[in-house]
Parts: sequence; C-alpha cells; structure tokens
Amino acid sequence: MKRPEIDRSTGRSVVTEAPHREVPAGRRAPAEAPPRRPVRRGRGRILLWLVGLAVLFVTLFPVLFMLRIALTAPANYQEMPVNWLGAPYLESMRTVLSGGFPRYLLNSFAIALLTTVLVVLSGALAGHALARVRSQRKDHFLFFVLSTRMGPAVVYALPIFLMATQLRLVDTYFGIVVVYIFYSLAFAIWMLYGFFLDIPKEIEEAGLVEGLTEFGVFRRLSMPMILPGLIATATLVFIFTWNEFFYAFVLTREVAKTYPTDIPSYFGAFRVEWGQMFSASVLGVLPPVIFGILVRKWLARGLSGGTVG
Amino acid sequence: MRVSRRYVLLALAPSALVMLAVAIFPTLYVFTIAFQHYSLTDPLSRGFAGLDNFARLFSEPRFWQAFWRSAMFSAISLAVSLPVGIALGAFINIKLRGMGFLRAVLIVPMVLTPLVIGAVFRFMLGSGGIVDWALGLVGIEGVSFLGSSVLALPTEAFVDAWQWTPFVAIVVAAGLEAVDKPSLEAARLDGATAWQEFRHIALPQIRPLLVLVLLIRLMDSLREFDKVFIMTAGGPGTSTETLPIYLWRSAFQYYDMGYSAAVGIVMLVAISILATVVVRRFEATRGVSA
Repeated sequence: MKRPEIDRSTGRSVVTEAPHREVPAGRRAPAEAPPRRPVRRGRGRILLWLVGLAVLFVTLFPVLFMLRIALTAPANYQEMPVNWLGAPYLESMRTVLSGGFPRYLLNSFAIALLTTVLVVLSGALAGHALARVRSQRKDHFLFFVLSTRMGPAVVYALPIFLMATQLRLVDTYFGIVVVYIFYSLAFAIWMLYGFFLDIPKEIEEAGLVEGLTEFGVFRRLSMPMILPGLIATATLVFIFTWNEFFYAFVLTREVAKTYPTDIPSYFGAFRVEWGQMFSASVLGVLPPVIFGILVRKWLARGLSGGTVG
Repeated sequence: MRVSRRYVLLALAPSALVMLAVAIFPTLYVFTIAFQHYSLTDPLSRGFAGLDNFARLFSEPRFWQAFWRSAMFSAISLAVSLPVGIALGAFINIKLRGMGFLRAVLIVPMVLTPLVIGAVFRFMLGSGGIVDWALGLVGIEGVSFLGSSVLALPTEAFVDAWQWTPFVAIVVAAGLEAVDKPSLEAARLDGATAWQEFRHIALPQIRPLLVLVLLIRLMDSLREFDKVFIMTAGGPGTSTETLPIYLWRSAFQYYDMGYSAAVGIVMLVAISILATVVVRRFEATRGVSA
C-alpha cells in the first residue's frame, strides 16, 4: 500500500511503502515501522490535485477539441471561446460516412487483423525457439532482429517500393501485409521471447515425457500458458499496424488504402475540411484508444519494443 | 526443455523468411542503388556511379541543413520529454484519489495515430486557432507557430514531446515501483529529504531503464515523419525539412533513387553510430531484460 505523504519541512511529496508484506495492516508494530513522513491533509494535497488536473488538461484537451470540431459546423470552426456544449452538427460525420472512408476503415481493419494473426503466430514460434535454445549465437539473432526496428521507415521504403513496383505488389493487400509483418515482427519476437522465458521449464519437460513432440509442447502447453501475453502482444501489433502511415502512403493507392492515408486528402489547395477530417480522425482513433486502455499494463513494454519491463 | 536443432530451424523459418524478404534483401538493394545513377524520371541514364551520389550528398547544403534540423528536433523533443517524463513518472506513483484514472488517460497520446495528432495541433496552432486566441487573452498577439520558419521546427518538436512524455512517465513509474525499499527507509532514518531520496537512491537504481528510454526516444524522434509531414511537410520553405522529410522528397517527389539511397545509407550509419555511442557511454545493455 503506497501512501502519498508530504514532507512538512520541504513541502514535497514522497511515496513511502508501509511494510505491509510482513505485518498485516492495522497491527503494525510501531517500533519496527520506519519513521513515516507526516501526512499533510490540506494544502499539500490540494497542490497535488492541481498538478494532476493540469496534466489531465494538457493530455486530454487536444482530443476533446478534435471531437468538438468534428461536431461543429464549418462557419463556427474559429468561434472563440469554444462552445463546448453546443448542439452537435452531424453533417460532416454524415459526409465522411457516405464517402469512401468506411471502406478505408474496413481496409485498415482487415489488414491490421491479418497482420496481427500472422505476426503473432510466426513471432511466437520464433520467440519460443529462441527462449529454449542454448546458443551464443541467439543473442546475435535477437539483436539483429531489434536492429531492423531502428532504421527509419523512409530508408526501407525506398527499396521496398522499387521491389514492389517490379513485382506488381503496389496497392495490393498482400504487399502491404508482408511489409507490416516485418514492421511488427521484431517487436513481437522480443515481447513473446520474454513471456516464454517466464514459463517454468518443468512443465514443458513433463510434456515431452508424456510423449508430446516439441511442436506439441509449444501448441498444447506453452501457448496456453502465455495467453495473456499473446493477447497483449496481439493488441499492440494491431494498434501499431492500424496507426502506421508511411508505408501505406508509399505502397497503397486505392484498393488497399488504409485510414491514415485518407487524412491528408481533406487538406485541399484552398480550404481544409476540418470537420470532415476530424470526423474521420475520431472514427479512426477510437479502436487504438480503446484497445490501448485495455492493455495499458503492457503498453510500456510494447512501445519499447519488448525491451522494458 | 532442450529443443532439437531441427525444431529451432523450423520455428525460426517463417520469421527469417520475412526478415530476408523485407529487411535484408532491401538493405542490400539500397547499397547497390546507392552506387548508381538511377532516377525514375530519367530511366535511360541509369548506370554505375561509383561514389558520385555520396560526393554529391556531402557537398549538398540542403542535406546538411536537414541533418542539423533532425539533430535539433531530437534535442528539443528529448530535452522536454525526458525531464518532464521523469517528474511525471514520480508524480503518478503518488497514491492519490483519481491517480488510476490519470494513468489511464496518459495512455491516450501514445496510441493516437501520429498523423491525427499532427492534424489536431495544426488546427490548434493555426492563425485564428485556439492557441492564438488564448495567447491574445494575455496580450500576446499573432504568434505564427507553424507559419514561421524560426518557430515551426521547435513547435513540432514540442508536439512530439507531447505525444511521448507519457511513455517516459509510465516506464519511469514502473521502474520506481521496483526501487529497493529498505535503502529508501534507511535513508529516511538518516534524515534524508524527499528530494535527496529521489535523487540519490531512486534515480541511480533506475539508471539502466533511463538509458534505454533515452535510446528509444532518440531513435523514435530521429525517425519521426508523420506529424511533421501533416503539420508543415517540410515548410515554410525548407525550415522543417528534417532528414526523413528530405529523404521522402528526394525519393518520392523527385524520384532520384540513387541519390536517395545514398542519403538513406548515411542516415542508417549515423543512427547506428549514435546508438553505439549512447550504449557505450551509458552502458545501456546492463540491466536490459533479455
């Protein structure tokens, strides 16, 4: 149990941990407890609340503002102060929904889903083998995998674009899905490798003794045991793929066009359709935001390429 | 469980195949293109170029400007997101009503589509936008954040920091939770202030984590394309033309593939050197969970 406490002498807040593991709460022996920083209920707490509110405001304001403009008539985009409670104007949303946008959303969904399934399957196989093999060379392989993530997409996009053009894979589902598998594979391998390392080896060995093949152990024992990790990894791969813009921008035109590549089309030469663009954006960011909050426990690990945590 | 060689090879095969097709082969291909005159707008002039592309690049002022702009963008983005993120990480570890909610909200910037973030900030920062209005209330008139060739790049670096500060905070918060409690308590018994505890006990313990965060933020900010693209696409003039934007322009607008490949290689080499320096300097690999 962590409690916020304010140091009276400095006014700073500290996190202290009560020795809860050894002594049940309420029956703590005073002599054994460390000296605790005295709690200040009044001003210190209010100060912390104000800081929290400021962080909340800075974080959420752009998102709420986007939502408000999506539901505002073009004549009122620049109306200040913003009329937060005004009746929603639904025309922009209706225009977006009746155009090509739903199809791009569907494209994004199909491409992200297919990528996720393939990445998680091949990443799990690789992660499992790497977690079980005892070889010096595996570190080299793992770091090679990680290094493919460091290069900017712009650099890879150039040869990939030339190759895709020659193979006639530009603007095909196949082409963009293969690139997206690569885009997330390193992350999935690292992430799942970590989960497989955590499995007690006795269980897998028992499986072998029972007569399962190595692949049988992988499929019947190891995969079910890391199910939460699989779900977390899959969700994050889905989010990364869903949000990806540059490869889609270069490698798709219309058939396989994904939702982010449609956003720039609302910026016309003479006017910007802000309401429509933000309507499309709101629809587009809903899935990653929902999924992201669902797997927030894993997000830091995921965003660091499976290396932190 | 000991696994057979056969299983390892079969299990790695699908991933290795993708890596081969989409990472290794294209990388080798970039190297061959970089030594050619190869422009999609002038296919007949294709031929061996030796080091011409590299020579051209090193004497091209626009390349060096892009290079320094990228350095500047990363420097500002890191100078904001790391300190603020560390402080925020310590803050969200305080037990306070509503902190769980704040932690959930902090997820949002990280999972928003970067392109959309850029579009929202472009609208907010534009002339007659809400930032303009708010500054007007306190008597500051007509600052053109994205329209000014001086302010545009730093502004975009701040937007990048806005997106990734929560990432730093959440990683730091997770690290601080794992800090050795007895040493904190011992320090408290010796009369350390809260700041001293944080600075001299907690921070050194999460140092490996901080170095890793630094490395990740550095790589990500050097590769940033989406937000800059939608906010100014390199403009006004070339004032926000960072290396990724420059490379995109030369490859996909001017279709100068040989030259662009050379730029890409120089970029990869520079990033590798930078990563190696950071790892060596701070011994980043120590403490990485691998």
